[in-house]
Amino acid sequence: MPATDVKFGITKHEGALIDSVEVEKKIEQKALKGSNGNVARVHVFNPTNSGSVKGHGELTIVPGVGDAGVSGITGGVTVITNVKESENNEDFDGWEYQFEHYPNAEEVS
Amino acid sequence: MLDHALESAFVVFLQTDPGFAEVHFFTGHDDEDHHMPAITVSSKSEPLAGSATVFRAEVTFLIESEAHDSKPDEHAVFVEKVRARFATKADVVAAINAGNRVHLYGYAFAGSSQDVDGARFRTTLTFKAGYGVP
Repeated sequence: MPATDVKFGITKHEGALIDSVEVEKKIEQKALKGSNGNVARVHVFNPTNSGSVKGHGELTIVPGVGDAGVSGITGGVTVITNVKESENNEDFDGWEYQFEHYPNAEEVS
Repeated sequence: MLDHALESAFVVFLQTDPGFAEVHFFTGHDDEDHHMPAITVSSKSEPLAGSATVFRAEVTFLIESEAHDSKPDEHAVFVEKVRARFATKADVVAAINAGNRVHLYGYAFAGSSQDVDGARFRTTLTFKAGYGVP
């Protein structure tokens, strides 16, 4: 892919003080082998996304069903699985949260 | 000029103390001869998360006394006055931010060092600071 297609910096999150955004897209598969030992049939199902965001400043996200604030993570149900806030004497305060996204799911109460 | 704005804000803060009326102040950009006693404030910054408005800084206060005219104990008293000026963080932050040149979020004392040559005693106080610019 030509170098002009690369990105530099954070583009997946609108926040101003974001250190990093990570998104992992996953899918499950079922493979059936044929009589010669080769995989002959494949079925993929249950696409999910997971990821994390690290940053600084005011954070309104709380654990539970919510919006990850990451572009491309839409539809279905997104669960903020954990939120970590940190402070130390020699740096700005920071936070980090992780999420799981189930694009084909419905929330039930 | 970001660092210079922070340096100047600290200089103005220290200059408001009547106890430093006889002190000569300099910033990292000044290249003139240092007349003793002197405090030179210099800063080195890096952006927070690539921001153009929020920065981490390492701020050093170089405190110099004339070694021929003052004894080491007198220099120590001078250094202690500077350290004490920064003891109450809330007051320092409020005073710096009242100047509107930079917004100081906080700071922490990070260390000190000292040396002497034939003419002057030198003590360096180092702070880690978080600040922003409008």
